[in-house]
Amino acid sequence: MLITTLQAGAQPDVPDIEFTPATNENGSASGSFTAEEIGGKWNITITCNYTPWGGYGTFKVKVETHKDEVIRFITVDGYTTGASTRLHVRGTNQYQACGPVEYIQADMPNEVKLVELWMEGDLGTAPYTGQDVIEGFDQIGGVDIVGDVYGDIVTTGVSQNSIYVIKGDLHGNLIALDGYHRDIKILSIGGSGGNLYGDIIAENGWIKSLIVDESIGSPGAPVNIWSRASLDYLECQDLYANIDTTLYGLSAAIYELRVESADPARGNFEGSINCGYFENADDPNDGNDPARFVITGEQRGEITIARDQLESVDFGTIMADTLFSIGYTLLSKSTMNINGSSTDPKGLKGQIIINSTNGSFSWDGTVKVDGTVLSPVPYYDNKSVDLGGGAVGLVPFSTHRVSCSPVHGR
Amino acid sequence: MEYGTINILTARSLGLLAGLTVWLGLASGTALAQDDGFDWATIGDPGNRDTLPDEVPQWSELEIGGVDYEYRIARTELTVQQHFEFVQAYWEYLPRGERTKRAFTGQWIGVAGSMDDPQYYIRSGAAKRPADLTWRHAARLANWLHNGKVMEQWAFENGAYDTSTFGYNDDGTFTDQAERNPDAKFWIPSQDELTKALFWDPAKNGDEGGYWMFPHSKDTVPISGAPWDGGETNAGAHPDDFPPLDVGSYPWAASPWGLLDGSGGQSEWTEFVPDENRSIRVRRGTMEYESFPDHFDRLDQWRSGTPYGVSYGIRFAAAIPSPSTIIPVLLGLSMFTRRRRHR
Repeated sequence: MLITTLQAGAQPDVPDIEFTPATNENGSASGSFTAEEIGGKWNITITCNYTPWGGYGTFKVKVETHKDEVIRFITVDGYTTGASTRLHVRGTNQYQACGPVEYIQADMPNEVKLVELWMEGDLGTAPYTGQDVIEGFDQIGGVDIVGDVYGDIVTTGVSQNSIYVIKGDLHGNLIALDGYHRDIKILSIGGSGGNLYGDIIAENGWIKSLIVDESIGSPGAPVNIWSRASLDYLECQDLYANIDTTLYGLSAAIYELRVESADPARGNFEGSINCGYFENADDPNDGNDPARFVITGEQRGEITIARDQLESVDFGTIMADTLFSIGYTLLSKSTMNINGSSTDPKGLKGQIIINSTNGSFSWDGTVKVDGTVLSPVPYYDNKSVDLGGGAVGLVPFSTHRVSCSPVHGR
Repeated sequence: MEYGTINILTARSLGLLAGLTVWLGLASGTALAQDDGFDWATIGDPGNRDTLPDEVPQWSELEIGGVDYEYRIARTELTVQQHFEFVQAYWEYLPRGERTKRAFTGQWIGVAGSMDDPQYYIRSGAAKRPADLTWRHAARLANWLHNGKVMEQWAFENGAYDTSTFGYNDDGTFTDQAERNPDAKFWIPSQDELTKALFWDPAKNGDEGGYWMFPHSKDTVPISGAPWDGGETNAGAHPDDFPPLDVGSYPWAASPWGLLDGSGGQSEWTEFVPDENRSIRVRRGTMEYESFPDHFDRLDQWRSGTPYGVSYGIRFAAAIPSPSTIIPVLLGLSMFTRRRRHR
């Protein structure tokens, strides 16, 4: 049954859609909508027709539905002359979310922003097929989903700085074609959910904070975490990912990466990490707050610093299957502290290569393993067995005088 | 006593007089000197009305802000330094896997070491920034304050909120105690208490009283921008514009009761659990650099937060000190005055 109304009538389950302002200067309606229920799901099409009074303005569209209602789609089209359109999607009560939504899309020539989406239930439908579940918006303000996401969320605007809270699993990609991702939290509830199975991409911005209660990716199925500018903070219990902050014309930093778990079988990393360098930009003078790289479990993959390593960084363990490369110089003010774990402090089990680009770069900074400085550099005397079995080498390599077989001179 | 002579006794009496003057100013909302490490504002005008529909046009059914008793509330959001004390004191009682998570430390407390031996530190320059913490940790911090910061586990687990109630039902709702204990000395403000402190002005509308739309004593949107550029909030700004700011960086953008950072800084927890949705605690306001302060900082806009996993800011509320703590001061002053006359 086709329903066209500007107010929720006697049927309390009809979506309540409100336009602010409701009319244009000439008295015409600033927008209209159709809400059609098919198979128990609402198809909502909103057509904007707003011309701001006397210049640029803001046009607000509010969609409120009861959390027991299911929305197949919300489409926002039409135009707003010289104005920004803002969409709010939530429940009929300001303390409640709306119900499940399959997708939300905007198709407007002017700027349109999804200011808030608060919903209970899944966004999209299983299984993940690569379909966009939120598209066409220049900016997303805040998304709060109590459920899983099966689809991609794509934004286009420079001012994009979204905050996502997903209490479930994210099966899909978060893509900011411009702007940045401010905070992404993927949480578990009662042991369910809290996994990221898609890519996080900020093609022209940075990723400020990515917190995942459980795992990022899965064994054999790593996800991509790419940003043009820095990746400030990442936290999860297992990381199966290819992280890259060098793809989009810059070689940006990673500030802090924590892959930790109280479960001794977790805290694992598999994949690759490419960055310009490790740095904590909030601590530019390298005071008490260095960059941090903590992986408490198994590591399999490559970690590449494309340029100079500028600042100090604290590591847990560099595992045997990890190749850690610094493309240029380990600068003199940089200290790599390899602290191991509380049960095994000799944390250098893998290989660290400096000047991996085979240029004329150098090892000027300090490498410490369990508090012991490797010296003299680059041909240090510290034995591999005392470090954890691994080594640090400056390209071009030379054999260690003692940690080799046969020992040098014999 | 000779005029012009300043001795220790005189200085002490001057201090007592100054303290008494400040105390007398409480009724009009003048901030106290700091105690318990907080800068309190006393919210008076008990019995003020709730919001009227035309004061909350985007949610006309909303009726909030009326409080029929006096209470104190912090002028600024909890700082990272204050949060740090709690983190250092409480970590050993947390499950190992939670000790290094941001849900415990917030974004401005760093962790070196391991889960078994975490070494917390305040990130460079962040001591006076607004802290972010989960609702449940804020409740534990309120308990700790209530119990005089005793360094034992029991001091964190009851007082204002009984943490043994913290849990979940199968339907996702939580079992947490909804409201503070009746005798709580410190607590997370209710929605009404926070609303009144940020928006109610007894002097508005020709002394009839009324609510401002925004928490800086104006009906217009706070100006986004750096303090040195005449800004009123760091919400709506971009991180490239200026670095994170300390609490209270916009002293000219105060609520009628002197509260600061009602816009920007951190979004703030309330105690309120809606009957229709017992899976959330209500919060309000924007955080630094957050978009749309013209929407989210309004009197009629409130948002949700689960009590675990997500971290926001907090400004604590507290009881008014009992009269018994004032009487010794008055008696002391009275005795001193008699001695002076007899010299």
